[in-house]
Amino acid sequence: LRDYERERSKRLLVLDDDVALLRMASLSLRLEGFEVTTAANGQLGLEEMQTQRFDLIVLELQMPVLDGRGFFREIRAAGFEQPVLILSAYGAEKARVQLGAQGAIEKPFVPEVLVDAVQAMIEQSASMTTRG
Amino acid sequence: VALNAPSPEYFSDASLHGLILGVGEAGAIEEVYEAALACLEDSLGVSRAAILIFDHQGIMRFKAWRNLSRAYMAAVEGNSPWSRDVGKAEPVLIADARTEPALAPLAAAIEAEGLQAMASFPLTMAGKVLGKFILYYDKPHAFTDTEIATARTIAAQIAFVLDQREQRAHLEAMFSSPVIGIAELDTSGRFRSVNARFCELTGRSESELTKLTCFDITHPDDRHETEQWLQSLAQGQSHFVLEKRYLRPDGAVIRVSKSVSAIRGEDERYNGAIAFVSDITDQKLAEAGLRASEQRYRELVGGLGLAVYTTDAEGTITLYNDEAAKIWGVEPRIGEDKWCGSWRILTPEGDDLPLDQCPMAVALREDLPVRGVELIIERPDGQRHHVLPHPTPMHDDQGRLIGAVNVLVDITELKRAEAEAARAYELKDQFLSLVSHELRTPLATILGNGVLLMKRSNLISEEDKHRAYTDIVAETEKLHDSIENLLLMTRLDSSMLEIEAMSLAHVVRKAVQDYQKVTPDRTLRLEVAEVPPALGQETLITLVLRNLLSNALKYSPRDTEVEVTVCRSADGRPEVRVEDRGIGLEPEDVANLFTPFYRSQKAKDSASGLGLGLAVCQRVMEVQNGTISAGSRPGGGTSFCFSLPEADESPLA
Repeated sequence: LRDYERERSKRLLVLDDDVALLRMASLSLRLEGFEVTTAANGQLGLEEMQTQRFDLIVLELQMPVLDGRGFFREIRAAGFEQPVLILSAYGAEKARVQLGAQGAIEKPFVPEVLVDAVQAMIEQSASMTTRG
Repeated sequence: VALNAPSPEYFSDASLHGLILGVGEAGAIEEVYEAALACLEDSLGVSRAAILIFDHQGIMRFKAWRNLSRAYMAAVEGNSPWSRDVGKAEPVLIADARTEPALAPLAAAIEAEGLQAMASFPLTMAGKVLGKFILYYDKPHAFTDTEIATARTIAAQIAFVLDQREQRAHLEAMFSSPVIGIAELDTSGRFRSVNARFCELTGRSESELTKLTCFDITHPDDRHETEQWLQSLAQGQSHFVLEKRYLRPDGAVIRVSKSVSAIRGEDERYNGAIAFVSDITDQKLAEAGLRASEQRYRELVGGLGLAVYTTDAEGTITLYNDEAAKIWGVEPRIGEDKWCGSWRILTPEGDDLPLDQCPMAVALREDLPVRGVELIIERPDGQRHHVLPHPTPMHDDQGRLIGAVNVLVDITELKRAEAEAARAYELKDQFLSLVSHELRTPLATILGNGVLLMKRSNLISEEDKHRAYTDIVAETEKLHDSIENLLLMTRLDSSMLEIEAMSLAHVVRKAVQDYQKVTPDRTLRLEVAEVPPALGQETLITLVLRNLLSNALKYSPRDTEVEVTVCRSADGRPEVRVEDRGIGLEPEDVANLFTPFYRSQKAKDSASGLGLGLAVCQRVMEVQNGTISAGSRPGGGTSFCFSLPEADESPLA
């Protein structure tokens, strides 16, 4: 089971209000073997979470309808405990600390930075689950 | 001062009159007693007699006597058939001492003295017993009516003289008062007599004063008033009281309080006046000093520019200044309102604070200054002031709490500035966040796609490659627009412009075609009517159009088209209209639409953006003397419209 869990491709949810950025981020992560779902705001993200389980969420803060902070509080309140990577053009690290998220990267970024951050967070999450 | 005149019958015997009253006027009291004893012997033939007077303890004491032994007097002294206030005292006649039961306790002394009859006559005046005289006989004695009448007359005369002397003594004591100046005036205001204190007060000797009138020594400014008062006495008034000034020979002015009573003789005829004068110069100086000090205090409190008020030890407000009333918004009721004149007090957190728990009440209750507490005072009109109260208890010279003073420092402006600074910081943060998002997100897309195409090209499908290239171009355009808007917003100035006549149709057609190239998946429809040349600048018109197109595409569904129309406005000017079938405008948004960084709720819920595009458009149209307006498109969606002056209307120089 553990091996299966390790081998299974990880499912990611990426939220950003910019469709072009979503396409780029999605492409970067798919090239590394992740399954990627995208949503243009927090509300659409919550809808995706009704139907799928995700191993990690990449989250922009500035979004219409339901912003990143609101979305984060909702999923934590709903018991989602997988890592969340904050993606922001301004104050990403500060927001990470405030919200209690696991990672943060600032825009603009090269794809390797995004991919490395996601992989590191998933490995850490897996090792903690194993130990636990 | 009227003395009680004895009834005329007492003076019927001329020999008696001369003997006692003659001496009584001027001589020593002992001479009066001697004259009385002599008179008794002469008129009644009694060789043994005594006069006794109540002392201050109410005991009858021997004052004068004839032919009595000391032993006897010592044995009987203090006995009296009457008390001092008996009212009506009758003579006590004892015809035979040996058979009188009332004398039994003294029988031995009486026998030893060889006395067998005696008679005591009271000396009374105005219902009071002053003393008595006693007549002694060696044999039993039957008193005749004549003897009794004569003795009564002598008793009345002695009492009269004693009473007169006593009253004179009182007057003299009063007249020699070291505090009250007394002067008697005749009807013309001339001094008849003055006492030593009056001389001292006026700085003149008695002999000097008796040559002057009271007007001579009065301060010139007070003479008229004094004259009027004295006249009122002559006209029937009984007395008056006034404060006036005397002018001393050395030039010194003294203030006096003067009580003046009319002296009236027989048939109420005005016969002058008696004045009682006390020096109130020091008192007046002290009062003036106090007033000046109080005035200074009030001026200080009033001119501080700080809100100040005081209370007594119970917390009742005793004094406040305008600044305090301004903060409270009400004038407190002096002597009624307690602790604070406030309408309502709140803590900085906005909770109501009961008046009896305000810092002033606490300071008074605990007898300690209170510092470092911040309060909100709400006025009746709802205005709120943030204040720092500084209540401080006040004590008298024995250290007793007599009240408190409170200085209210109004920090409302400070608080407002703090809040504004915080708000400004927050806005700056929001602005930076917004601008960063709008600039860095397209940059991230461009950079990311560039790196992927460069390094992982072999792994990417043709379809994904095409999307990536398209996104690079579109995002670069978007970034370009944002940068242009930001730059223009900061440096747009009409003096930098070169305005020229141009064909609006040509400029718009080119701009729409260019924009269509970077948005291949949307339909832009252009309709151009014949319009006159317009005055403006091509790059700015292109910028406005790109902003309007960008908005139209952003806020309308992907499968709807955007229409651009070049035509004449209602007043004939060259005009461009951009219409979409999107989310539309709420009426309240129209007013703020062109405000920098304003974004309607609908817009926020639909897509990200700076809220700068329309502000830039308006600015750009302004500097070209054009107009821009927004409205709802009939049938749904939004309609933007901008116009420029016609070139023919104002030819260029």
